[in-house]
Amino acid sequence: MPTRDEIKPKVIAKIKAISDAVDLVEDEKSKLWNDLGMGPVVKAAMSLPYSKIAQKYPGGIVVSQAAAAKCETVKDSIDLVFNRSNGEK
Amino acid sequence: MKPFASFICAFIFLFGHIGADNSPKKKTFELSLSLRQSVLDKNTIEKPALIQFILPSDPTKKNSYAIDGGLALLFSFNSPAWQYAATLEYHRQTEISKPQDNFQAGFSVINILGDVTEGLTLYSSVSAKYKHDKIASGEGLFFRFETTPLLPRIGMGATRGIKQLQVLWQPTFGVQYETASDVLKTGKSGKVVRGVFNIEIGFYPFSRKLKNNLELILRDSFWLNLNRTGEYKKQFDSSQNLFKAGISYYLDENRHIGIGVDYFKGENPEQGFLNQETTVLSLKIKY
Repeated sequence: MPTRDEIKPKVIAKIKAISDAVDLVEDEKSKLWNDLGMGPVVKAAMSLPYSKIAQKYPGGIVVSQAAAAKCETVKDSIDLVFNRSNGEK
Repeated sequence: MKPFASFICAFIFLFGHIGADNSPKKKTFELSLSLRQSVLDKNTIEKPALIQFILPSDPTKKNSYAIDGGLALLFSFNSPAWQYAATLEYHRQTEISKPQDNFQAGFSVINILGDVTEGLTLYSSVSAKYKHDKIASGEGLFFRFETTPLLPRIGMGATRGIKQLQVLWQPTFGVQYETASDVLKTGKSGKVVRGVFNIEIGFYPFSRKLKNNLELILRDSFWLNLNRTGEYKKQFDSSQNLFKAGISYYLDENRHIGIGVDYFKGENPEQGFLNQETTVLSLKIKY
């Protein structure tokens, strides 16, 4: 079972690959749209990279487009992938 | 119903092997609701549902109202790449010189092809709908395939620029097929196949300070009628175009409520929006 601290840098690396505001990505309170400029379609499309992280762990489950699109902050994204990595919705 | 089923099946067959998950892991089913200006606009910069009240300066003219709303019930089965949506959409404009009364109900399948953190990704959708338009087309069927390329490092799907000004842009390409029982109230039917190209650019001034809540959108949509039969041949030109420029300010960071001014010039055959030039002040709602 992965810990949140184990998941966090992996999610942040994925978000850094998208956002121009690299200095704000490390702050969990940063908003994906308001601070990091991730548009709604890109937020939904993060379902695939998030699922790749979650499904590396035994019991990890997929992240749907709708669940990825609902994330408002970096913290939401880390929590989502952490929960899915542990098989929780 | 046969064309509906064939259209959806062809899309799933073409893209079906990508993102499929056959692992024995726990399966998931997810359900959510979305309210936007139009479910057809799902591919692009999110536009909230609109309610507009128009108070004419000329007291002899009547007040009018407009509604633009699309409700989608989204669901997915154990897949990050596939999403399905049952959709309802309504567009109404009561002003006599530019009336619109368009209802649509249907089903959409959405696919993401590629990993957006690694390079070019395609965000595609296929839709099949029943359409009832009391002004432009009567009853009919509407099929659509559209794809939007995403490449954040050049601003396609995520903003790029300097702290004082960020820019996001998205092109979309597609094809459509539509049947109509009563084209422009002539009582005659028609069919049309269209190619669609849409480009949308969003400008976000002082983006760090204003948190992307001040938005200037320029959008141009172009429909090329590749094949027309019946009344579509007589009543419409070989192409249609709609230009839109809008400025909006969102009152909350999650962009649920905003106000804005939008300028439109042209026509939108998908939504029965007839050729016109108009400027409107709007309240914008997104959930």
